[in-house]
Amino acid sequence: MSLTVLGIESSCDETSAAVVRGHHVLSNVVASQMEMHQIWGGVVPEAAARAHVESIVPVIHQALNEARVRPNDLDGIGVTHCPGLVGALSVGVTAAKTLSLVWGKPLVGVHHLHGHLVSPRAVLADSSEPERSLPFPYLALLVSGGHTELVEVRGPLEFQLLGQTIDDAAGEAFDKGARLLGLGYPGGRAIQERARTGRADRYSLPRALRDDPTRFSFSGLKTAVLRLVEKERDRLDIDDAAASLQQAIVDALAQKTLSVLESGSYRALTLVGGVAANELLRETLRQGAEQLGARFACPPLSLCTDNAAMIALVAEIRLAQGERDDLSLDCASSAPI
Amino acid sequence: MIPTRVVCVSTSSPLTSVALWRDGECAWSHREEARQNASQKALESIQNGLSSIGLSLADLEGIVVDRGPGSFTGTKVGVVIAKVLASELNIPVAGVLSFDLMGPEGPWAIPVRRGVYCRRDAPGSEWRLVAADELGAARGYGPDFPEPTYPDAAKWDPNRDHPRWATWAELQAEYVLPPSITPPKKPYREMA
Repeated sequence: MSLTVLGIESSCDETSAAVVRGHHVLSNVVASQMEMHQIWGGVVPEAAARAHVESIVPVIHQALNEARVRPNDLDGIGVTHCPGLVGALSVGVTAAKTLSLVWGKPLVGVHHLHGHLVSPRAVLADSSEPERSLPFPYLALLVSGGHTELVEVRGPLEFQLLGQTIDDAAGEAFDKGARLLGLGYPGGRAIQERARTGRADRYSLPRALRDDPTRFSFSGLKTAVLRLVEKERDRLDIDDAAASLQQAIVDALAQKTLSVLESGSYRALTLVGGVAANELLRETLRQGAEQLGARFACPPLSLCTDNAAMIALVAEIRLAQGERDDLSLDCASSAPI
Repeated sequence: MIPTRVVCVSTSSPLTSVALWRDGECAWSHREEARQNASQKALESIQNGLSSIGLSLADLEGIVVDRGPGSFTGTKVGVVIAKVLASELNIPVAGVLSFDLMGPEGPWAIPVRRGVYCRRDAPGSEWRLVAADELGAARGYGPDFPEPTYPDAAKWDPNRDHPRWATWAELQAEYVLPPSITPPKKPYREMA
């Protein structure tokens, strides 16, 4: 049975609404605040929450219009309620509760990371190869500005955390590194562009905790880039530094992920979250997984960065299982997977 | 058409309050402490109030909302509820300042951060930021008020406050402070 579900996401700096029916994404509208946060070099929580207040209703209307769905056609509403910036989350959650009341439709709260983890299973209008057939259990690497997690996916909504960062997230390493190199925010794209013409072996940067596949660490890398900038000053070749930094982050992620993939004999690996946009990381993991005889899947970019389609997808699975939340649904800044 | 069946919602303070107005009279009201769950308390109150006076959401003709000043997250909760209700019920919304819901006689004061208040002297006048020792005879809430007065939806006065009805898109929260941030220093490299 396929349900038609409205998803709402406002956990960080993207206001998003989407309509999903039977895992097919009918619309996925994202109002990004990136330009606003660029002037500060990062996401400012209160500014993010205020922008959500302005854009939440128009974004929901646009998602329904693009999907050609009326409120009456919906089987329910899913909303991100954890983890994230509480002030930002509460905007989406309040809107979802109010809609649930006005439309008389059931409501479910969705864990943001569950959204990322199921995102490879979404079917886009232009995608010919849906990944719904990924064999359980499979391995997922979730990397974004706020998260670095290695997760065993045991069922549609059954997750086991295998490893995570003990300090900065991988996306944070890109952002902070880019800032130290004077490349601006967001850092991932800037680093990737400058790295194209740079030499990755020019500067030696650390790969932390090499022998521990369950713990990532990127704060030492940030300090190493700072020391490098201090030491080299005007002699520093930014392209080479960007390439060296990118290589260090990708090496750390890939080495641990592939070692867990091998030791756990998983038959598939997925890469999800905003940092999945990094081409070197995607290709390194794809080649590594194929060498180990495992399938590799990575959703298109529109489903990697924060979006409401993945939230609607989780909500569809949970609503189909008969799960419901009521008006007491709470927001939380952190929550275990 | 001037709305005659109106809901008034205030979530800008630790007390969430909802009042239902019919033909210029307050027909139902409720106040409840809600520090973390203002959206739940406000929506439940709207539901309970409407059913107790024999109306449903679809009977509402207008929404009056406390758009601040007040707590960061609480104020946004009320504004979002009002925007969504107004857009989905296709009815107008009127934003009022939290001072308008604290009784007819000023001055009033609302806490901003430790030792700082937002004070308005009389109905319709501009508010300003003052230190705790400039509160004078103000009524309000916060650590310097042993007997607090909170915004109360039942104290909205349609005859005095002359609501300015507008669309949901025009409704804006009254924020007291800009996000408390300083622009980033120049990138490290340029400073060196």
